[in-house]
Amino acid sequence: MTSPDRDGAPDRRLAIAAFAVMFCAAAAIGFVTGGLRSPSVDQPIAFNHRKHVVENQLGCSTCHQFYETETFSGLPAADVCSTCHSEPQGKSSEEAKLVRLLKEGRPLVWNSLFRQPSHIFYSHRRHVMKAHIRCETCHGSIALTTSPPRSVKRLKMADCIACHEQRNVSVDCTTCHR
Amino acid sequence: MKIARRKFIGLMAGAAAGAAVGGTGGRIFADALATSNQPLYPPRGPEQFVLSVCTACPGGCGVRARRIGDRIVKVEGNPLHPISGGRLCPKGQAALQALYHPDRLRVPLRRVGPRGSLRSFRPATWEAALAEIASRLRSIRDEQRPESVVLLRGGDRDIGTRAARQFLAAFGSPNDIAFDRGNEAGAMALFLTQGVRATPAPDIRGADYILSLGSEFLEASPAPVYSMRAYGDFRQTHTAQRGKLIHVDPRLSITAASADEWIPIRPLTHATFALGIAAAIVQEGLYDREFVAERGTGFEDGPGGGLRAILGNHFSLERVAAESGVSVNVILRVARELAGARKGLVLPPHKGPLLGGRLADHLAVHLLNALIGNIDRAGGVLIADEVAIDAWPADAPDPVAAAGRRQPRLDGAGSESLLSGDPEQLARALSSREPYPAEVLFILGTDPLYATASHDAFTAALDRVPLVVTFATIANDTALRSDWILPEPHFLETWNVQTSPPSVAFASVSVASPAVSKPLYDTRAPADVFLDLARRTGLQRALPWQDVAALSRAEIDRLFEARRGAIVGTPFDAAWVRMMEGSGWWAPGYTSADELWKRTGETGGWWDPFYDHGDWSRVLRTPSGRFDFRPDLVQQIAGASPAVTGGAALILFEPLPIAGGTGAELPFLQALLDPGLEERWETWGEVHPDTASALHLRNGSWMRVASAHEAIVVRARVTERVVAGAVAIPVGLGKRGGGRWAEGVGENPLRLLDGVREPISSLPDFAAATVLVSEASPTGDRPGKRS
Amino acid sequence: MTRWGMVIDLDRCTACQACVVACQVENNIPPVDQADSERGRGISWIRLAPFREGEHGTRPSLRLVPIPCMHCERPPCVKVCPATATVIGHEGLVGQIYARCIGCRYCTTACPYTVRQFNWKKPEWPQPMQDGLSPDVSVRPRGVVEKCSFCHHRLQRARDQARMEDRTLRDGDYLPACVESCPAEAMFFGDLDDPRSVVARLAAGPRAFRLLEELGTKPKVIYLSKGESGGDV
Repeated sequence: MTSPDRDGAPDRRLAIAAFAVMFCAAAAIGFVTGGLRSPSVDQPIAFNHRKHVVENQLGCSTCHQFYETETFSGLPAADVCSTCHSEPQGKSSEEAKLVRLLKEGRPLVWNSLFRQPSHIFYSHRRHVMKAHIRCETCHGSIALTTSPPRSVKRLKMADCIACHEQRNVSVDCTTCHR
Repeated sequence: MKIARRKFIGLMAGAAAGAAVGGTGGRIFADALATSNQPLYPPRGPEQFVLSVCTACPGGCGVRARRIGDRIVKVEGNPLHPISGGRLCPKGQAALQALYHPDRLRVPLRRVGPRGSLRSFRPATWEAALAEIASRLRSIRDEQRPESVVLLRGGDRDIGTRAARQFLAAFGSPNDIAFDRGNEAGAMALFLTQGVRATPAPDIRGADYILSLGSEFLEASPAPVYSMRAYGDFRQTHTAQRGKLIHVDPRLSITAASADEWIPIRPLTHATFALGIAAAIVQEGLYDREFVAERGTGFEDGPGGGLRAILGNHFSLERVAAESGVSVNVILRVARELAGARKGLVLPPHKGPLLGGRLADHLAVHLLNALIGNIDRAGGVLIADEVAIDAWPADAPDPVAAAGRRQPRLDGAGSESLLSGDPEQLARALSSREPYPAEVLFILGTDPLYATASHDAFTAALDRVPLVVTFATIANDTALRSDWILPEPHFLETWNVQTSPPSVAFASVSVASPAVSKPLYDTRAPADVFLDLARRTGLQRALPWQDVAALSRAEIDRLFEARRGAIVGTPFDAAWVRMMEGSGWWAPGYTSADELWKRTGETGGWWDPFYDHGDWSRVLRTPSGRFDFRPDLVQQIAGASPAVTGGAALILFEPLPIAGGTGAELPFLQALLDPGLEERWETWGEVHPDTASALHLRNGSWMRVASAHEAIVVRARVTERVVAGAVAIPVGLGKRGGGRWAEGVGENPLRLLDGVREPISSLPDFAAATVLVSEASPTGDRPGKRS
Repeated sequence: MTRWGMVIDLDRCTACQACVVACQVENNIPPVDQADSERGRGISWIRLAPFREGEHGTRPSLRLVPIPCMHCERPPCVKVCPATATVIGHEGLVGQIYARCIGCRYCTTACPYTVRQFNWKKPEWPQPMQDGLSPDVSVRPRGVVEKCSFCHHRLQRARDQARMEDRTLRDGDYLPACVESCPAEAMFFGDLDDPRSVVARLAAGPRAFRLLEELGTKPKVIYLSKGESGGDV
């Protein structure tokens, strides 16, 4: 029994509790969305994936040299580009920029469009070579873009889990988290 | 369900605030996990493994560096390597902290201000350094005084030291002076009884009962990983009986903690205890009569009537019990256990690379081993059959060099002396400029100013030499008082050819190649420096190699000529080689020097696993060809029982992480100084509760420890790990140099000593110091402040 | 089923602490200086715990026992975690999921072996020390709890390698860094459910015991006491 003079107190407590619940929920939503907003990408040149993959029929591994043999995929170093681009192949101004950069002998520093968090173990070679997952499953239509896109396909843990569950692969936390 | 308006407002307010915090704060938090970690997100890259040899101590462990891109991310043992067996000690594991240490020397440094501070140095080019040093060397040769160039060096197992020694010989100086205190007493005991100049190699793995007379072989042995591996097998193997370990010492060390029994004895009574055990064994007729009769001399005859008579006259159980503080019953029991064991082994009080022990103790232990027939048998005391890989031709020195090499050594050590080097005597000679002045002093692989027993004399001596050149990776105490500091590469950045360490019973040669594509800084391998100096002083005939890589190759060519041993391999491979060599065959698995070079590069090295037990002409090289029981020296020991008078006995020890005076530079090692007391980042002194209460010392308070010469302030640790009437202090901290994590942390108790020497050996007697212990005054006395 | 476990032979162990440093280097644990070390900010996932016996008698003894995470079969930490940030997997590894950890430290209190440590400090490496960081292990931010993982990133890699070679894992493919380093060869690791494995045989031997067994945590770190093995191991 609550005494009359303390009437309203449970209500206040409920309000505080409700505040806390909503606070946490909103914070959690903010946490997830705020943390994974796509970055604005500044690349050495505006690389044209479509030109290479669709028009010239180059395989992804021509430039991303490691995804078949290593856990990571790799971004092309200057010497990979200079295999073809030591002299201009076409009339594109971006290519001219690349040729100039290569001639100056400076290392090419690409920014990753797809960032794998450091606390996740992910083996490209195993997914590509053994599970035969296609690149676009995770990387979307990146191969069709003509310049670095404003946004790319974003993967969440749920995507990983869904695929693992569908294929009956372990979903233990420590299978991927490290 | 009805929601009251107030509640609803509460809900909304909460959501708004939550979204605000979540959107920004949450992002910050997520960033902490991902984005702002970006610089700390270690880049990925192709993985490679590169073989090298750890030089964090003289142990010479073969290692395997894991390389990602051009970064080294882990150092592990090389599984094929006979010394490390794929294992590593904490120092080896911490090698990465040394490679990427923020205070590594990056360029040569020339001193332009007062000695003792890194601020007195200016960066210089290698050309400037080598030109100045070479010009001084050339004028010394022109004046025909080559003996005035001095090399003070640590171990002699690496390619840099061999190059330096070769340079010195070609230049014409006799002053090749070793600072190898950890191995002097053991080698002397072997020389005095067996006539062999080598470090004894106790066969721990082969023993089934070990009586350790204060031997810290599980902490600071000359080859820690090898000793610990051997100990593991001594304890538990598939085949043999479990070995038993008894540790006899005033202090319950980490080794003692591993023992089945710790027998505390009074300080300075190891020799007495060992000879007491010997006397009991002789009296009970338990000694190895066959060895003594057929291989020994001086047991039944000689000064004092021979060892048997001296033991009987001077080492009665009662006297030994009274002096050592161990009861007659315990002495008798240990004597019977030792003699009754199938393979009993006695280990001498070697405390570490800087504290090799006293000759009296080592000699007494070695005699006891001989009495139980332990000389050159499995589970006994062995001698490695070294292989010569010095690549230079035995060239006749030029006349200037020949004359210089005939001069006396400045430290008085060498051929006649028992010592291989006498740094304190060197210091005196440098200061007095007698018998002749020194002009150039090279210091390589050692920090003598830290490790010397005569700190003040050494400091003064360095000031008297016109040109002091120190090699270092991080500026150590000696470097800070030098004229030039030449930056050395870390072992993962350079070539090396390393021979097996002291206390290991087989010959081995390990090959290291650089693990990174280029050194991090403008460093040069000491071998490269001496090859360069040889070219600049017209001595390239004696050292014709272009660089350390070419010299490494030349040394392996020389190894090929030895025509024995095999490429390192699995235990199965080793067993095969042993069997072949044991029946007189040599099956090396390589047919040319090229192949040997290639295969040692792929596997990490070469070794000769075969041991020919009982080859008496090799291991007994006294004039009589027998094992000399040295009754003359035992008589001296009997007559000169030292005692602690007027204070507490100072017991020094070397914790593994900072043994040899190296390791304090690295924060991982500073945190591990003593797991028993959970001591880290400071110097402490252990005192027994009885002693502490007599001196009004509380656990954890500051304590002043004073010798006649110097005083230090350390943390008091009241513990029964040490006997009453003593104070035990670790060596390894208290550095002036060593970078941000070592400088000014803790105290150097070696400063308390002042050149007290053991009579027979002339070794600094670290065990004989007596100190006064008192409560430190609450205001004045603090670590780092000396009174 | 695989059940990963460790055996530590106290008769071989020399308390050299190689395991401690091997773990710190392997797992990207930042160095701390003297001041932070004295404030207890240093982290080690395995430590040597001293057990002093008979300090008041005439003959004291000292036992030093390496203590990593026990990866309990019934881990108290998992029960108390409000964020599901610590979990036990199908192969018995007790994982710590840093991205989920809210830093409440219930688990550090619940763990009877006190092997869990809180990151009070932002991890920092003076230049160029971060060049030595392993890409296999994430750097933990301030505010989360961490602990021994049995180096499960090595399992991730070993399993990946085995899969690429179209084979199953072999005994010895996956060893934590401490086990690999141990000079006295006192540490063993493997599948406790595989009767042929070294750890299973040792764990069944007469010297085997577990720490605080009476709590019912069922640790998967098994110790072998000093003394005779009483038979072939």
